[in-house]
Amino acid sequence: MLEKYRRQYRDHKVQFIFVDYDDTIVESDQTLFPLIAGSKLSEEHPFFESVSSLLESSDEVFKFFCIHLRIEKTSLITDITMIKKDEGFLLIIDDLSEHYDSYQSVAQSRNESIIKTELTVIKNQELEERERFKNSFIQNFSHELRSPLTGIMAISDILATTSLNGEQRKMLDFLKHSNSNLSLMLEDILNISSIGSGRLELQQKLFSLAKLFKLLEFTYKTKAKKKNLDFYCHLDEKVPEFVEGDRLRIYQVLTNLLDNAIKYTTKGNIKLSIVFNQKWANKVSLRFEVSDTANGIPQESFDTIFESFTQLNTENKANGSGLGLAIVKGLLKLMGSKIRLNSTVGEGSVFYFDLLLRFPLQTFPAEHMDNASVFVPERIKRIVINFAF
Amino acid sequence: MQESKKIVILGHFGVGKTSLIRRFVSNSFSDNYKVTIGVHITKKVVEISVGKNISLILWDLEGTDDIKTIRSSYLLGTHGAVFVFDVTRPSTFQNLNDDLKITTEKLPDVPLIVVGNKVDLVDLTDLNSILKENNINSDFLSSAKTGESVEELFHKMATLLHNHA
Repeated sequence: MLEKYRRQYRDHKVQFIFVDYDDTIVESDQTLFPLIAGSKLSEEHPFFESVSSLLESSDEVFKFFCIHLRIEKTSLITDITMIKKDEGFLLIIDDLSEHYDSYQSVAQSRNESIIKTELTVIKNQELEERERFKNSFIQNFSHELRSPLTGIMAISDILATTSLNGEQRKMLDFLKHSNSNLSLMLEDILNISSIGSGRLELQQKLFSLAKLFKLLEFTYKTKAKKKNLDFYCHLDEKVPEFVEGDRLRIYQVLTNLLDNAIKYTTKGNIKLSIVFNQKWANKVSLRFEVSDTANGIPQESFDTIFESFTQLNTENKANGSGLGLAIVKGLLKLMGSKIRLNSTVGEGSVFYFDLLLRFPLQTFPAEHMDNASVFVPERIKRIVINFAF
Repeated sequence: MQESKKIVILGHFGVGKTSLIRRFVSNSFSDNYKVTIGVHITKKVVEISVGKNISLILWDLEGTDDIKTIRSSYLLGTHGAVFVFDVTRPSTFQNLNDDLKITTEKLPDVPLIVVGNKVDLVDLTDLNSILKENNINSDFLSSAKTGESVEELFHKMATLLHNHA
């Protein structure tokens, strides 16, 4: 390395030229450029033309660094020194091309990197702005749609209490079913918009995971039965009965996965399981898993199915907004987790995620719990945490 | 004898100084960005009126994000200056008024033209509001790629220098 720099700085070539004050080359060696005595220096390169006026100043020496000179067919990067003498001036041209070329490569990488970063930041800002606008638009639009929808639903309910013939009742049922679907879609859209805009905040509260599990078991066993599917449940005995987390959002994730499983499975079974992974002082890692025996998902679609408005099964396109898995992905991200998928085409899929949840170390009064939904019989009134896992 | 004037082209790196000169001198453009180190000097004769020519010697200076660091030797004997910024990169014009102040301190009594380059990449309405927000008055909005305003800006400089002399 030292030898390289020695060559760059010590062994570089230098050309000496003497020029009179009439701009005529008096004498020159030909080390770098073919400058002939008697010719006009300023005609050789515009650099000399633009600096010739400097000789009228009182300064004696002028030094210019990193000047690109091309004379005849020779291109060099040079340092140029002009020294005033009585009869004219001495021009010393140092060829430092090798040195400046290596500097050029460094500067190239540096500048490209800085510009790329700047442009990326700008692009991201634009995307964020668009995303904010989109979310705000969706929020407002969905709210505006809700009011007339509520009116339609209310009128449908009133209509149902009136005297209707068979044909009219069928039409009313269809109307109510469509209203219900539309309402769910709006709910999904609002959810995905809230997640995207960062407005959705998790509500961490103590709740009974066992009750949540029972609720899901009850609900989806019924739904599965309607489609002649089997529904299996497994709650690992080591899973703590009470955990701290956003019960509503965990419920939402699991219902989205289970609804999908029911929707896409035409024969076989659906399975929900909650498995104990690991525990720390007052935290526990649990694996939530929903499997089905539907058609399975091709490997190349693993990423895209979690994007908004994506549905793989065209036969079922009419059902749902295509936002379910995007909501799952967004909610789990908020919870510090990630949805994962194993699937084999023709056999079925397993959607799973791990959650790290706090659980209480001591006895606590029942009123501190989040008992928002109680579909299962109350088993426990006084709660004592069971550490036996 | 034909009048000869030295013009320095200043501005941050990557704003398109070299491309503007290339478009003006050889009417060409390249998408490949090659960093300028030191200074490239080229020359072009401009006709400012019938039979009246002026020779512009263009000093394409290495771009810098700090105008104060420009080698003073590059500015010796300067007759005119063109300050270029990139309309797509706010970092090149956010401190423009300060940069221009420093430039005029370094080059007192020298005509200065301010150019926002790469206008082909932005929406003009958005651009005008951005420039207004940043309190920027540019003399030209140019595109070295399309050639927009390139000839005009150098012709304007030539006229300024002729009148200034």
